[in-house]
Amino acid sequence: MTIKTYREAIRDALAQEMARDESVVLIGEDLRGGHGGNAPEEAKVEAFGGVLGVTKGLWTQFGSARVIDTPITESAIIGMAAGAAVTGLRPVAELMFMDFFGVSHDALYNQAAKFRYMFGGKAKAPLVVRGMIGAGFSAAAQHSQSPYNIFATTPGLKVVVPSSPYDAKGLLIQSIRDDDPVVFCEHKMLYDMKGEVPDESYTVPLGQANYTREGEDVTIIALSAMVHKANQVADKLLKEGISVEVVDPRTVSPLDEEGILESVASTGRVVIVDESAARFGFAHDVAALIASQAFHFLKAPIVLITPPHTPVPFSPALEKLWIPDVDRIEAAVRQLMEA
Amino acid sequence: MSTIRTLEIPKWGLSMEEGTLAQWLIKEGSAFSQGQDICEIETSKITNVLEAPWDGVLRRVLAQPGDTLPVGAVLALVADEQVSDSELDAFAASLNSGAPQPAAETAPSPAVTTSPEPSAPAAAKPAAQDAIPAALRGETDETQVNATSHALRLAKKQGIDLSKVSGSGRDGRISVADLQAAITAGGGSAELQARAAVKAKPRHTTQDDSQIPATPIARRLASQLGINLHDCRRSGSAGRVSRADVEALAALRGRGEQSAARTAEAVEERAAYDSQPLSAMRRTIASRLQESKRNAPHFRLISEVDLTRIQALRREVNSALPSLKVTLNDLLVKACAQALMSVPEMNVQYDEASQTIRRFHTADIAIAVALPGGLYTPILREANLKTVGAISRQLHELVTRTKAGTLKAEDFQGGTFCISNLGMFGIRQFDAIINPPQCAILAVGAAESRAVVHEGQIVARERLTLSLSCDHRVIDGAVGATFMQHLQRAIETPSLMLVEEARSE
Repeated sequence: MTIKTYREAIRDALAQEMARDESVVLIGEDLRGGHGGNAPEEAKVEAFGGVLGVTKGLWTQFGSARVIDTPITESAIIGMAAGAAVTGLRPVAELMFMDFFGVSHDALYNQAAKFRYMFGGKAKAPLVVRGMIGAGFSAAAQHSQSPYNIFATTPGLKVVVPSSPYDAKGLLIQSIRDDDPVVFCEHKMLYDMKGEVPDESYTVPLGQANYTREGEDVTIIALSAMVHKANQVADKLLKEGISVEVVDPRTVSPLDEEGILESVASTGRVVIVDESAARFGFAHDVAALIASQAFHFLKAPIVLITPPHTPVPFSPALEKLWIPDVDRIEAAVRQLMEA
Repeated sequence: MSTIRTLEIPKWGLSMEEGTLAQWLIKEGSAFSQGQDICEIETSKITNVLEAPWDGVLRRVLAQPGDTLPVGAVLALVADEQVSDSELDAFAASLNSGAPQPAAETAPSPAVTTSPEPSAPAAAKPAAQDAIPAALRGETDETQVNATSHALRLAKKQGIDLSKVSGSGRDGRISVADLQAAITAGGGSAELQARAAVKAKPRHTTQDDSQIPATPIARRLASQLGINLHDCRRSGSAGRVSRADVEALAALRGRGEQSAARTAEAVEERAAYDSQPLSAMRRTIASRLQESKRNAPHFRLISEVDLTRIQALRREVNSALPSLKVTLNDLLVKACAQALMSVPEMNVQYDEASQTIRRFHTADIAIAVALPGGLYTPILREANLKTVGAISRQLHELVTRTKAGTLKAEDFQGGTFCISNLGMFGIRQFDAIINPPQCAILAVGAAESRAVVHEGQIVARERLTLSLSCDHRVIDGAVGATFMQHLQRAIETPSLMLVEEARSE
């Protein structure tokens, strides 16, 4: 298998789906250019390929009709994607930073998410909205949030939060082929992460958790960048005889309830790590699921690890404190083993 | 060196005779290092963790959670990797033929003593293909089935081909519940979920079953039928004991030969009371006090003491030192310690087995603390050497820890004298039963205003009745009476606390 970065895995998925299905189009700011790319179209000179270089090379391959650069206007990007999706295309729109969804959210949560339901199944909106989430880049309060919990409250939206290059490619291909609107959250701290990614096209189903570590004493449920911190803790504690199971749900909507509950049933101790919110977040929803469905399996209270209820700080020192870290996760596991 | 070592039920304190294995904290086959937590053992009063005495590898687990075993019984075998399984089997077999016997008279523990074929390696490594229907057996091709991780894991362990199981999840995904349903539908039985997978259940457990997951109806039915939930299967949702499980066990025992409907009728008839099996703690209290009442000839000495001065002293101290809240009980502990130092023949324990009297140099005074689950007697050590302030603080801390359930074995084992106070209930006077190996107990009634003759006048004075129970085998009437005299003097003349020696000569 080839080793690829998370960024390359996403590009792979886009390129392969565009080659496979002509209805797949990309819409967003600077998908072709970016960082000063300003050459005339005929010159076929590719610039940076998006603010993070994810779409680099796609314009030269598929041309301006399918890789559509837009002005800086989120409402137009998502509105265009939602409309195009109803007409039969499979647009993949890029919001750059997910934090910007507020500008364009009507088109997504009040239009695209409702089409299939309100038109009695006669319309569908197979679009994907890609964007970056996550803190750790000192990108400050307006560019560091992880609002997947907000998307997941809307019925009709599917929400994908991949943690590895392999999952990113398989889940994105699945998201593009899905007939419902999918919000695809890419963690900005993971773009350079490398992992084994098959060259051929493959899908990872939505709504199936992945156990990145198997264990018997404690279950850590984590998403995206937090999965790797949980893995780190699991590997460290294994040497001390504490066996940790790490459950990465991979998609928050649909949520793999069975995958979560079965792990909880087998360990009876739960830590949930969530970068989204200190209140009303993914962690709180999963904790409620466990408390209502698997209470009798619990040997100790559920531990939630979230950021504080503040905007993400700009100061690198404060931001480091804000993000749930390995030490907090490790302490939580140890606490559970003593409870 | 390929030696086999054993992990045994430790003796935590003088009175510990048996322990119940609550839970293994490490798995069979895993290595541990000195000081690491190995397992939890429940004694009559506390649950404690057994720490590894040395480094080793836990090769063979012999005791299962729920087994009650005598002190010294072997819990597990520890050996290097070089030691073969057959050597371990031979060693385990030699243990079985030899020493360790089951402790609990009431609850024989089959896991260790009657395990049928200790020499068969299969006995130790539960392949657990208990009853998988033949139609489901086979090997799962993980690339061809859609199943949860746990379902895949269990299928592998149980030798089941998941392609023969239909899934109820999203896109037909197979969950553990689907697997369980398929086994049951095929006429088999297997307890797949971890919490349910308790092996080698004792038949008639007497342990507290309040923590066993069960449906409310099952719990009520079990208590009405006198069935301990430990003994039931757990086939209900989320691995709980269901009503059907309780009825099945009742039928098995012949107590519930009626059909389910008639069981309900029987329940109706018996519903006048709830029958509750004794908890481990209640059993201990019952057997020890029964033994005391039977073996120790109790005699009692009663005297009434005047509290006017000691109460004045208490108020003075408390108003001068608001941080301290000295109670009458604190002062009584101090007074008893003084009296015990003056009459050292009272400061003793009696060891029935060796027929010896242990005479102590310090007054270790046990205080009876009643909790809903039973009676605790935490001990205030060396009360004779401590100031009233120290006694007050430590007593408060002991009572708090008792209520919080965080007492350690050393907190309640031993003691040379005991005080039981029912004054807060308005009891005027009562007789207490001695808590062996102690030889005396002081029963304290309520402090109250009583009419007494004082200097030729009938006046109201604050008085208290004390009743001392002594074990006549080791304490004679005169000794007890002398003690009461000293105690009375210490209470009525509290200033003596300032001058009295803290030790007996």
